[in-house]
Amino acid sequence: MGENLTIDSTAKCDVLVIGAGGAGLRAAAQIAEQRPDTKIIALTKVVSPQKSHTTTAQGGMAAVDPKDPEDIAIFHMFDTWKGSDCSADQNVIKKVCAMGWEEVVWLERHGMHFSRTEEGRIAKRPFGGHMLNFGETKAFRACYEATRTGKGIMDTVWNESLKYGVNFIAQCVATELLFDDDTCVGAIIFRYPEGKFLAILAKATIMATGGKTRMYLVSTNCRGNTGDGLALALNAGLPVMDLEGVQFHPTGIVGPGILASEALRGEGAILRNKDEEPFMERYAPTARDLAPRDLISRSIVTEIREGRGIFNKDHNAHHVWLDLRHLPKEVHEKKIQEIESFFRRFVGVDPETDLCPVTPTAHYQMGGIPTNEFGEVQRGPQAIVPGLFACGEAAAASLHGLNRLGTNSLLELITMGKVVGKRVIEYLKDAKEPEGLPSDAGHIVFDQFSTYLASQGNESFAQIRDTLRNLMMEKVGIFRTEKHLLEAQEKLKELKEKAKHIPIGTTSLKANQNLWQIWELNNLITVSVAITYGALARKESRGAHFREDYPERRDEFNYHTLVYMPEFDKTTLGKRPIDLSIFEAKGERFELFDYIERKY
Amino acid sequence: MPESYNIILEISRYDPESHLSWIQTYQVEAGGILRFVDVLRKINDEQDPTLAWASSCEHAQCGSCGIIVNGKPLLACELLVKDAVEKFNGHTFKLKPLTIAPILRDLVVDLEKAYDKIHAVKPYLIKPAPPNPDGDEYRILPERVEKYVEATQCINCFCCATACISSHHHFIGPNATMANIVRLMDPRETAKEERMDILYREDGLYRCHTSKACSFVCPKEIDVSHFLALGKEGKF
Amino acid sequence: MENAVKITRTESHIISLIQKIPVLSYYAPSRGWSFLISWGHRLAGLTLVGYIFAHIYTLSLLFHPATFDADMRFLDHFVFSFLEWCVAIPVIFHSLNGGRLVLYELFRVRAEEIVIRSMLIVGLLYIFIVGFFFIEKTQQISATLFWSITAAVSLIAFLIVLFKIWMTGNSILWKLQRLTGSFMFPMLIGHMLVMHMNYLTGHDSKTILLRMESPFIKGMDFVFIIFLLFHAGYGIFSIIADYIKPGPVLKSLAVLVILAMAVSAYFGIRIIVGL
Ligand SMILES: Cc1cc2nc3c(=O)[nH]c(=O)nc-3n(C[C@H](O)[C@H](O)[C@H](O)COP(=O)(O)OP(=O)(O)OC[C@H]3O[C@@H](n4cnc5c(N)ncnc54)[C@H](O)[C@@H]3O)c2cc1C
Ligand code: HEM
Ligand code: HEM
Ligand code: SF4
Ligand code: F3S
Ligand code: FES
Repeated sequence: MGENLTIDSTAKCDVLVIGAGGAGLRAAAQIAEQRPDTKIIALTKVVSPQKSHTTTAQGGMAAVDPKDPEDIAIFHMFDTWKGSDCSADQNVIKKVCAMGWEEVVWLERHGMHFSRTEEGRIAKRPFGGHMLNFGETKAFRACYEATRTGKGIMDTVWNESLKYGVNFIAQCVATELLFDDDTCVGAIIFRYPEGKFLAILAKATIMATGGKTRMYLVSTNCRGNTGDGLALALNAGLPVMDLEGVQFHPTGIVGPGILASEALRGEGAILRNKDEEPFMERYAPTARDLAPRDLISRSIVTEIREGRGIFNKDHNAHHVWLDLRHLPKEVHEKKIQEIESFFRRFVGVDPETDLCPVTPTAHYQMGGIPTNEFGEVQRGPQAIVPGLFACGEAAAASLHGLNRLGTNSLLELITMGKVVGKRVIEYLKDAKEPEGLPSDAGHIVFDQFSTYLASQGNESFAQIRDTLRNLMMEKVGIFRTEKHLLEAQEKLKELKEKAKHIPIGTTSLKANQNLWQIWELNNLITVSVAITYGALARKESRGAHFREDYPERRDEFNYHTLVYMPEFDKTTLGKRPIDLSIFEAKGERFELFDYIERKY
Repeated sequence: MPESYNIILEISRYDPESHLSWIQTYQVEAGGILRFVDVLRKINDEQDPTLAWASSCEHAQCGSCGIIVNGKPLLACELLVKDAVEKFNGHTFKLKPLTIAPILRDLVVDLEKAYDKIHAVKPYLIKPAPPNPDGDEYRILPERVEKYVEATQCINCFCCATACISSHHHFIGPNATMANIVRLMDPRETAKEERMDILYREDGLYRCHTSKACSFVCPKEIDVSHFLALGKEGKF
Repeated sequence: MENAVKITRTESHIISLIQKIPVLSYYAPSRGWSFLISWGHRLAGLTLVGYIFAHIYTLSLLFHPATFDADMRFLDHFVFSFLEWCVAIPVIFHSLNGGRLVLYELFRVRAEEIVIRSMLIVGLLYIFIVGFFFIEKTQQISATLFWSITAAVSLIAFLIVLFKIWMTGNSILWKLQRLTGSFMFPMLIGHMLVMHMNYLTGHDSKTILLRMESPFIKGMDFVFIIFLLFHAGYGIFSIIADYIKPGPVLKSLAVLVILAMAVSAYFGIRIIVGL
C-alpha cells in the first residue's frame, strides 16, 4: 500500500494560508481586500473555517479605546509586559497594543455583533491583569460579544474572506512544507474525504494552525489542536520558540476540560479537597480562592498529589471540588447562570446542590513558530525564511512571552494577522512563481503515512494517547523538575517507538479517521518532546513555567528558548534575545519596562 | 456520583470504498456523565477503530458533531449518557448521520457541501453603510441588537436543516435563511434589495412551512422559526 | 422553545397516551408537535383535494336530479354517513391550523400554546356540532341569511390579510395562497356547517336546486371554487417543490397540476352556471 502514495495533483496560488482560523483569515482578508486579484487558498482541518477553534473563545478582546478618558495604550503595554513576567518582546507589545482599537473598529465595520453600551458604543469589561495607571485599578478594556467573542471574530474574518473569494480547502491537513532552497514554496496537503495528496505551490505561505495543547490530559483545546503546524516546522528543520510556556487554567470542568470561568470564584465559590476542606486558605491566606491563576493551579495539583484529590472513574482523572452551594439563589439564577449551565450540561451536576468537579486544564500555549514583528518566520535569532510567515497561537512573535493575559490572544490574532497580510502583500511585489514541485516533495509525509498504513503491530492507539496525556499532565504540567522532565523524555521516546506499531483499522485512504489520528498522535509526541527540551533548558520559574527545583526567576534566562528538532529527538537549542525597545527608547515611565518584579 | 449504564448503540455505517451500508450494534458500558462523543471514542478505543464520527470543540460551540439519535438531530458532544437514557426512555440508541449532505463514512457527513448553502446567502455585509464621520464604530443601540442577537448564536450545525419538514431536498435551509435575515435586520447592511431577492428565492423562504422543528431541535435554543416568520412578514 | 409550553396535568396525560401511537412516539420527541401538526396540515390538505374532486363529480349529478337523489342514497348507510361526518376533521383541522399559520407568519402571534389549545377545543366542538346537526336533521335556517353572514366574514378576513400581506416581497402566488386560505376560513367552516344544519340543504336535490337559482349563491360558489382550486393547486405544487428541484421536471409537474385544477374548475363552474 505504502509505496503507492502519490501526489494526486498540483495547484498554484499566490498565498497559501495553512490554518483558516482567526489569525489566518484575518491575514487572508487583509490581502484580499487590499490586493483583490491575489489568488489565496486557505486550509482547515474542520468542515468550514467557521468551526475553527477561535469560535470557542468567550471572554473578550483587549483594546484601548482612544476615546476612553482613563485608559491609554501604554497601560496596556505595561500590563502585557508585566504579565509576561518580562519575557515578551517590547517591539511586538508596542505594535499590537497600539493597533488594538483600529482592529476592533475593523471587525465592527465588517459586521461583528459586539455587545453595546446604552449609547450604542462597543461595550467593554474588565479582565484579569488589565489595569489602569500601571497596575492601580482594573481597566474596562475587553471588548466582547456576549460570551461569544471568539465566534464573532471567527465569523467576521471568515465572512470577509468569503466575500473576497478566498478559496477554502476544508477537511484537509497540511502534512509537509515545501522548500526551494531556503524559500518556502507551499505545502503538501492530505484531503480527508477522498484520501488524496495535493501539492499546493504558493509564492507565500502563512502558518496559522492555532493552539496545540491536546497532549495534556485535561485541555480546553479542540480535538484537532494537535500541534501539526509546529511538527511541520520542526520536520522542516525550523525552530520553535518558548514551548515551555503552557498556560493552565485552574478550573477546568473535569473530563471535557471546559472552562469554568473565574467569575464563579469572584462571586464566592470555594475550592475544596476530598475532605471538603477549603484548602486555598492554607496556600494563600489572604487572597484565598482569588489568588492568581498559576498559584491556584499549583495549589490544586499539590492537593491532588498529596492524596487529597478525588478520582473520577469515567474520565480517568483526579480533581478537586468547586463549591457553589452556599451562594444565594439570585447569584445562581442571574449572575453565573450561564457558566453554571456547563456543569449541568457536561457533568450532570447541579451546582446549587452538588459539588462541582474541577481540575487545572491546559489552555493556551504561549510559544510557537518564532517570527519577527512582521510575522516573518525565523530560521534563527535573525535570519528569516523567505516566503514563510506565521501568526496566531501557532506563532510566537512574541506578545505573551511565557505568560499571556486573558483577552490578549484574540487581540494578537487580529493585529498580527493584519500585519502579516500587509507584509505578504509587500513580499508578493517581487516574489517569483515557484518553479515546480521540488524533487523531494513528499519524502516526509509518504514516509510517515506508509509506515502507519503498513503497521502490523499490536500497540493500542488509545493506550499510547492516554499515556501521553497523563505523562504530560503529571511530569511536564504545572510543576516541573529536572528528574520528571528527563523521565518524560524517555517515556516519550518509548511512545514514539510504540506508535509505529499501532495496527491500522482500514487501509482505505478515504475518510480514514484512524490514519488521520495516528498522524496527529505523532505530531503531539513530537511537540511534547520539544516542550520537554525547552522546559529542561529553562532552569528557572517564569510566567507559566514553574520549576520546583528552580522556583525563582533568574536574569540569566532573560531570553527566548529556541528548539530545533529536524529528526525525532535530535535536538539543538538556541536563544533569541528579548526585545526591550520600549525600555531602550527611554520614553515616559520607561523604567517600568525593565526586568521588573511580577507581583499583583 | 458516577453511575454506569449498559447501553446499546445501533450505528448506521457506510464504507466509501465498497459503498456498503449496514447497521452495526455495539454494546458499551459507559459512565452516566460520558458524552456521546466520549462513548464513540470508547468504541474506537476498545472495540472498533474504524468507526468514523466527527467532532471538534467537544463543548457545543462549533457544530461539527451533529448526528441523529433516535430520530432527533443533536450535538453528540452535548448529550450525556444518563440524560439520553432518561430522555429517550431506554438503553438502546439508533445513531444515524445527518441527512443534509452526502455521507463520507459512517456518521461523518460532508458538511462542507452543506456549507455551500450558507455561502449562497452571503452571510457578510454585502454593502456596509458608510462609516460614521467620527471614524470609529457604528452606533447601534442595544435595543436594536436585542432584536436579532439570538440569531447570531447559530453555529451552523445543520440540526435544524435535518429536522425540517421540507428538509434537505430543495430548501436552502433554516439556518442559511436565518443568516440572511440577520443581515436584513442589521442596521449596517445597505444591500437590502439584494438580500430580499435572496430571501424570496424559490428554494428560500417558500420552502418553510412553519413546522418549527428547527426551533425544537436547535441546540443553541434559537427560535429559528420566529426569524423565518419575520421574513414572511417582511418586517424586520 | 417548544419545551416552554405550559401543559396541564390532564393534557400531559392525554399527550403521553397519544405518544404511544408508533409514528407519533418517534416524531413527537424528536421533531416536536409543531412538526407533526405540519404533517397533519399537509395530509388534511391533500385529503380535501381528493374530496373536492369527488364533490364536483357528485354535484354534477344534479344535472339529473333524480339520479342525484338515487345515487346519493348510499349516504344513508351508517358507514357512509359516518365517513361524511369524518370530513369535518380535515376541514376544521386544516382551516384552524391554516389560520394559526397565517397568524404566526403574518401577525406575529407567538403565543402558540394558547392558539393550539383553542384550536383543539374549537375543533372538537365543531366536529361535535356538525355531528349533532347531522343526526338531528331538524334545524331550519335561511341559507341566504347564513351565506350572507359567511360571505361578509370571509371578505373581512380576506381584506385584513390583504392589507397585511400586500406590501411584503413574497411572490404573488404565495400571497394568494394565504389570501385564499383566509377567505375560505369562514367560508369552508360555514359551508360544511350549513350543509348539515338543515340536512336537506346539502343533500336533497330539490332544496339545492332551488337555492342555487339565487345569483348571490351562484356568485359565492363561484368565488369559492376558484379560490379553492387555486389554493389546492398551489398547495400541491408547494409540496412537490419540496421534493423536486427547480428544473424541467418540476415545471412539467406544475403544468400537470394547473391542468388538473383547470379541468376541475371547468366542471365546477359548469355546475354553477348550468344549474
Ligand atoms: C476555551 C477557550 C477560550 C478562550 N478565550 C479567550 C478569550 O476570551 N480571549 C482571548 O484573547 N483568547 C482566548 N482564548 C485563546 C484564543 O481563542 C486562541 O488562542 C485563538 O483562537 C487561536 O486562534 P488561531 O487563529 O491561531 O487558531 P485557530 O482558530 O485554532 O485556527 C487554527 C486553524 O488551523 C487549522 N489547522 C490546524 N492544523 C492544520 C493543518 N495541519 N493543516 C491545515 N489546517 C490546520 C485548524 O483547522 C483551524 O482552522 C481562548 C481559548 C480557548 C481554548
Ligand atoms: C379553510 C381555510 C383554509 C386555510 C386557512 C388554509 C390555509 C393554508 C395555508 C396557510 C397553507 C400553507 C401552508 C404551508 O405553506 O405549508 C395551506 C396549504 C395547503 N392547503 Fe390550505 N387552507 C384552507 C383550505 C384548504 C382547502 C379547502 C384545501 C383543499 C381543497 C387546502 C389544501 C391545501 C394544500 C394541499 C396545502 C399544501 C400543504 C403543504 O404545503 O404542506 N386548503 N393551507
Ligand atoms: C360533507 C359535507 C358537504 C356537503 C353536504 C356539501 C354540499 C355542497 C352542496 C350541496 C353544494 C352545492 C352548492 C351550494 O349549495 O352552495 C356544494 C358546493 C361546494 N362545496 Fe360542498 N359540501 C360539503 C363539504 C365540502 C367540502 C369539505 C368542501 C371543500 C373541500 C366543499 C367545497 C364546495 C365547493 C367549492 C362548492 C362549490 C361547487 C361548485 O361551484 O361547483 N364542500 N357543497
Ligand atoms: S439554527 Fe440552531 S440548529 Fe440550526 S444550524 Fe444554527 S445552531 Fe444549529
Ligand atoms: S423546521 Fe422547517 S418548515 Fe420552517 S419553521 Fe423550521 S424551517
Ligand atoms: S464538537 Fe463542537 S459542537 Fe460538538
